[in-house]
Amino acid sequence: MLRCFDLKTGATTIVAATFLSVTQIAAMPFNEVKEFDFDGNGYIAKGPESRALQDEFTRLNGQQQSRFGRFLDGSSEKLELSELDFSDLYAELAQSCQIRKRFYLAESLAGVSLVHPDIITLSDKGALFSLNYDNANDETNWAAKGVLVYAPAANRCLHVDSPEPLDGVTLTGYAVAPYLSFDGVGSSSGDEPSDLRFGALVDLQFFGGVFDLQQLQFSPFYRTDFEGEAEIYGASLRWTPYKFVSRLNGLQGDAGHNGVDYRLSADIEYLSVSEGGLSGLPSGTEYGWVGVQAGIGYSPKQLEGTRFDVNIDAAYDLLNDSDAVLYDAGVTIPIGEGQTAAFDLRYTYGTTRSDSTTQDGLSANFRIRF
Amino acid sequence: MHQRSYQEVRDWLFARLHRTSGKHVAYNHKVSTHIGKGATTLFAYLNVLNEVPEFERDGLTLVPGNVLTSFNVEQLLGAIFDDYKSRGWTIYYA
Repeated sequence: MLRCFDLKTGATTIVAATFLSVTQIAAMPFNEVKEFDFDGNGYIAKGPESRALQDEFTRLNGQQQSRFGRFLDGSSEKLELSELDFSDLYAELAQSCQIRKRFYLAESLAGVSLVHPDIITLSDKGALFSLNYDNANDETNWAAKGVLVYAPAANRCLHVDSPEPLDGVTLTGYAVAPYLSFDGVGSSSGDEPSDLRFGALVDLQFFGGVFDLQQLQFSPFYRTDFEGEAEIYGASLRWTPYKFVSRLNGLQGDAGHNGVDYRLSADIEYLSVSEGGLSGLPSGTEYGWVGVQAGIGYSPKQLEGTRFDVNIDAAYDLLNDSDAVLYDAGVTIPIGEGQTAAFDLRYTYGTTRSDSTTQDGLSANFRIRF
Repeated sequence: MHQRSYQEVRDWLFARLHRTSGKHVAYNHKVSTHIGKGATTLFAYLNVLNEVPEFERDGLTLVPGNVLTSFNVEQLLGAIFDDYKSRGWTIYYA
């Protein structure tokens, strides 16, 4: 149905009928919205102007409907016309499909999400740099663990323009990026095992289904050590699910939760060791790890931001019939605003899968990320 | 023709946000005020909204890319209207 407006009175007259449904008509261009400012003062005023535009409510785009409906509900007597121009917002939405931040630094690949680059989770940690001096043995020790990722290609909006309903779990985003990761300790008395990797990360985002959101990361890599002696080839696959109401992997959950949150991820890793070097792995060996990482945390309401947690990293080597189980428990206390720095006190016990060393110790760490 | 009133959709959204935060919900509140910060949180919450019984019955299909982490409640409501309209529904003001 088409309508004609008297620009002086705002009266609406039906002048013709068409066979087009309202939904088949494109959203009203902003220039046409301006025509409802009958007196040309730059505002839609309550009265004839607002009533005329309300008659065409179904033709406004979603953002205009939301803003204009808020105006109709409210006590304000006039709405500035420019507030109904959402061209910049829709342009920003389109741009958000591309990754704007190119470099990422985090503790491990498990803490990096290219598809959701501004991820902030309770369980997320920044890269670790630690230095300490042992007076008793006159020895200096250091530790470093982190990953630097460069993200050149990504799309986070694969299903945006499709009106079709989601059919269960749906691929809604991807990213491909090279990375450099480092993990090692050292001392003034000699070399220690270390892990230096160059790889590529393929990051896939799945939406809907049992979990609200799932992330699948595939990464082929070349691994050496800090001295460049090791020569190891491998690939890994990591799965991380998110469920809002269950507070899974850092999500807030609904009000009234009891402060408990959960962590869960799983991974598969294949390694072929040509030269062991300082990796802690013997030359000429192969590994095929299947692992699960799970944890439970508790954040008391009285201690805002502080989180106590216990975690287990359990892995089984299918090729060598061996296992590695590492437990840790600790408390993370945020420092300052923005959760970019934190003090972390942690007890670790068990066997690491990366170099099969046994750990049984307490550590105090300062963590920072950007 | 499928149609839904502005007020119905708004009330369903406000009720779900209130259930999440326990706070009074207003148009100008940042969505993150109610659900927490971060894109992962927001994207996961879109599935929570899609599964609100009334929205699920209407076939709401919000996906990452329909929203920005900077959105306020009014803009999230606008994104829901856009989704309804993209599927052929009419949103009217009652």
